[in-house]
Amino acid sequence: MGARLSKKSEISSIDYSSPGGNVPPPGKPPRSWWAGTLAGNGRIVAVIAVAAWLGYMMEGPDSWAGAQSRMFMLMAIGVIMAVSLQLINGVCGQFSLGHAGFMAVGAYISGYASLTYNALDPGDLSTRYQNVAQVALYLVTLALVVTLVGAILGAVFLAIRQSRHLWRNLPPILMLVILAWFTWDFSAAFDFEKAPSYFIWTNIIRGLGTLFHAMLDHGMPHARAISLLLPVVIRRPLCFIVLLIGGGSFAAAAGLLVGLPTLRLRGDYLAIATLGFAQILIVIFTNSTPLGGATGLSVAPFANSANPDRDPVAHYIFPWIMALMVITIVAVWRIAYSPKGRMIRAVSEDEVAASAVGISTTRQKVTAFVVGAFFAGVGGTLYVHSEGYVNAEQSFGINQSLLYVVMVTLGGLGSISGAIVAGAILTMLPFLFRQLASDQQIPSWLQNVFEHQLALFALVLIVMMLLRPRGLLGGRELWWRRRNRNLQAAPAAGATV
Amino acid sequence: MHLFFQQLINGLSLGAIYALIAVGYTMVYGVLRLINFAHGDVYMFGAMMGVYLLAGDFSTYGAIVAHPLFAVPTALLGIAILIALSILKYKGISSPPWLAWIGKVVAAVALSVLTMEIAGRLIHWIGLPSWISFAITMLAAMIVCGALGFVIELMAYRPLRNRPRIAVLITAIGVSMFLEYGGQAIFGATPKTFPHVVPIAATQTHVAGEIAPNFVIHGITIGYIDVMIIVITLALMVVLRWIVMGTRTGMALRAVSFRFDTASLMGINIDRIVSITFVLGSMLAAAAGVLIAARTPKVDPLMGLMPGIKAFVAAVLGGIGNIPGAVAGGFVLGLVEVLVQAYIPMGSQYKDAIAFIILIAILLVKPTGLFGRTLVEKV
Amino acid sequence: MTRAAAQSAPVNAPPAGGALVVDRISRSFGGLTALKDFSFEVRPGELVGLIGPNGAGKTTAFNVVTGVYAPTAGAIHLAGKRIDALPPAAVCRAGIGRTFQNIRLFTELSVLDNVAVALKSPPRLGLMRTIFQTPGFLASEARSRDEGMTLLAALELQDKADLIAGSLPYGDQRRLEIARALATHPKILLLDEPAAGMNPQEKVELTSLIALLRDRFKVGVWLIEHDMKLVMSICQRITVLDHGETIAVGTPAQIQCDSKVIGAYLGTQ
Repeated sequence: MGARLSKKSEISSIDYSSPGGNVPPPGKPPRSWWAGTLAGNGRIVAVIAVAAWLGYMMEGPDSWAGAQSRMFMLMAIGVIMAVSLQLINGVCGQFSLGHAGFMAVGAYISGYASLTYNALDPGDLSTRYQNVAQVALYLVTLALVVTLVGAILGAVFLAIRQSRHLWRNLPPILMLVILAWFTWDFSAAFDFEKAPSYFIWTNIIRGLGTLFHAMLDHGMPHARAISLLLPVVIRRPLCFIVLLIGGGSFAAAAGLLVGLPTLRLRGDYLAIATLGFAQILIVIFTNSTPLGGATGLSVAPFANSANPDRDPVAHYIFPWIMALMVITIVAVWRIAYSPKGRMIRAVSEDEVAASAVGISTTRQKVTAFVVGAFFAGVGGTLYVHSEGYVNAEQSFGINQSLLYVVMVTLGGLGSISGAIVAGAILTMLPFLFRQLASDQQIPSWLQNVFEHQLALFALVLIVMMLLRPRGLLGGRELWWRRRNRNLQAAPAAGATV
Repeated sequence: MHLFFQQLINGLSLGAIYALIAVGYTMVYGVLRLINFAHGDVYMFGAMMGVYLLAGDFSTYGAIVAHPLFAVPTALLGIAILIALSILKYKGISSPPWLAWIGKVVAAVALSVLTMEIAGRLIHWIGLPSWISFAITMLAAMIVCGALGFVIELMAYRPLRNRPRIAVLITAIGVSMFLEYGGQAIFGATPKTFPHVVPIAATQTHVAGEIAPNFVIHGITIGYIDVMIIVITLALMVVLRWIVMGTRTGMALRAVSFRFDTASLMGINIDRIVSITFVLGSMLAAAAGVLIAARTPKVDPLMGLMPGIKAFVAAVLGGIGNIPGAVAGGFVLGLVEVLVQAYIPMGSQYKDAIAFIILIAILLVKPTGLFGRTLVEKV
Repeated sequence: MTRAAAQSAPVNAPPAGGALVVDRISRSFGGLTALKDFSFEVRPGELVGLIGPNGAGKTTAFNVVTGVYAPTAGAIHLAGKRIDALPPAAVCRAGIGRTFQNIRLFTELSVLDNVAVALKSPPRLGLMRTIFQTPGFLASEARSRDEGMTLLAALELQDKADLIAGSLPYGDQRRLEIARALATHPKILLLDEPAAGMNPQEKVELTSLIALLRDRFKVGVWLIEHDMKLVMSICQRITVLDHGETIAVGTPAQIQCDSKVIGAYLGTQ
């Protein structure tokens, strides 16, 4: 979409060494890949550790962040969302309006898993978040079923697409026929306890459901036994890591499902299609009884301490949020400013030229989409486990998706540091306004104004857009480093033709 | 079969509402390539104006607009500025742009205030028959929303005309949020009830408890309001068609939406055309707002969000930028939505998803919508 | 060879290794036939030209060969492999590089990145490798940077590697596009009006550069050009298109005195 501001003639090539540079010193013999990787990423590990420690210090009523700790948590999650969306909207130039939908997938899948399976003993609060294997089993089983569904749908879709070789107008017709068949199948099969064999789709769905339940029923006791085998210390962290990866992966799968068919659409059509997909997801979540339906899903907030009752507010998820914020930023940064990111940027600039140099445009777009969705799912997992409650319509509705797009654009399309700044500020603003509304120091009429925080927020947004139409940072980053030292070593010998 | 025809009428009337909103989306998209997210909220604003006029309920902040102490000075100021500007123009003196800008905004506000005053007095002092009050209400709401659309374009979109499209889109989101939450601040967050002026559909009972009169044809009960919605929509579409196809302004509008840059080279005043587009679209949205308010007599500041987005879906469905396409898309969407709710089990729960499922299905097989042109990129 | 020969041109010569053989392709847009029964052959190491008046279908021919448009009839082979049903990216990977008439650089990437992004199969590009920046990943990135610099040096752009591509002067942009096309390791290089908009001095330089590149990278070069002097001076064979039809095939000398070609350019009495 919009052209990005380029500092002509000054910006150097993409700097691969920032943040946490990892350029091996020349002349040294190569180490084994894992030792090299570990050594090269030492700084990143240190930064993650510091972030987690900061988060630890900021959590709870007695910490310096005190009552604001919830705000800081949401800010960090906002940053995760904004940065991951920046990869899709800014770097890849695909205008996605459905980011909150992916967040919802992560939140609901992981939320349901931890609601149902996380305790070793459902009656005992202190065993929460210890049943690693059951959570993992649930997620893996669900993934299996989803993969099967995806394979079936994918095969159908491919078959429909291939049919255009027979006749140009065949795909739309087949699409309609299959849609009608689906509808008829599902609506008619409702009248049967056990649908006759000719209700193919219904039987497939029911068969998959049976498979799912059978696998869970048989596996759960064993899984619990495995959980008990694990040392107590690593149970909780491991459980949360499983939840995070699970939530992220399902969101990524949703991203793939949404991305594959829609990414050939252009501009506004893609925007409205992604918005539509997100909306469909929201409606499905709102109507799904196991997931809490319209009332929403309540989950016990993640507790990292052995005794969550000791301190009901501090449940020590903040270190996780901070650490994952850093991980998201580093991962997205490294992808954006890598050969992969270069290809993605090339696709976003000119698809025709990109494909003319052998770049598969669909592949790059899908990659960006899936990675962005993955981190959105991680954000959703963190959100549900810190808030303890989600409601599809309110937590992940259209307005939320729009808000993330606003963050990305306000920060400057393509600028990851811009997304970080905007994500933090825009999450903070409503809190700030709310606080001002109850501040006794300011006159009451001003308090009344601040009471309408969202209207004020909108006004700030309009004014900022009028003043800085390309966002806070344009397409630049806050910390560029010129990369001249690598170019000095460029082959002068090859220069002679 | 009776059920089917009844649902058909329901679907057509819902579709008519979508069509009215979708036309505004598609026209704005046609000239500016902008998804005007605030459009659904203009529709909400129209419904709100209808409530204020008919109910004569001026107890909230909204009353300030209609309060004579505010209205008379504003109107006088607006008229004075307009006269001053036209004198300057007549004398060939070019007024400074900021003065013209302020003048336009104040004039638009003054026009709205005057309209509300006059319409309110007409309805409540004279005591006209209910259908005439309704007509006056609708006209007034259309004028006010036309002015609102004009002001939105002037203040929020025009300064960003040559900026990246994404910036304008974000501004549109901002305007939309401002109207929604500003609306909550001014009108109050609780839903308001549209007065019982027009008989509503048979299946619904009015809040007052009385059952509304309807047509009954061969056992099919048809609400007056549904017939009214369809008829008024069709009438407005005829007027719109005349404006777009039959006037010089319409020709300019089509030229601008065909090729923005070239049109300006041909001596078309782009700013004027864009303003007219916004005014026309907003007026149609206001009509839709008043009509839907009369049908489901609840009006609240967030009511525009969903219908707005669905109307946009309708516009995309018909091929965005294409006015007849938007109308067709609106009717298709309304019909399918109602029929699916009626005939597919659990359909009503998934009501809000249907529009998007249709959208995605259409986009997958025909990415430019039902009537859209295929654009071939020149390599 | 004149018209009669043109109809069956490529069949006579045995296809050499890596040759691009275009066999009677046609392409129509709606009712308009932009290209009709077009046949051609380019072998690696050759330098051949395609000329014709405006709207003759030259760029369409390139677009069909590179997979941007599918041909409505006919077949295209590269090194014995059929490539006319492939998408553009696959055609490129099969060994056809191209430039565009209206320059299509990635204007916001740096000059070096424009070339590096096109390098054939950048090794070790996995997502995990990218995120963890393994030593192998970094080494491969350093390699591709070196290769990119080599290519830039070949086109005398090495001093500008760090600039944003969009900020380059016109002639540099043209050469950068050639460098980018070469980065895909093509067997055949398609140049669409490489000298358009250049002054005579630049054209002379470009001409020698193209010839040099052909020898150094062992590619077959197929170019569309309006400048007759340029075409006649460097091309071994030339095909002339008019209204989508091939009106002449031959050496520069043959083309220069072909009455049909003169008619197409100057109009017939």
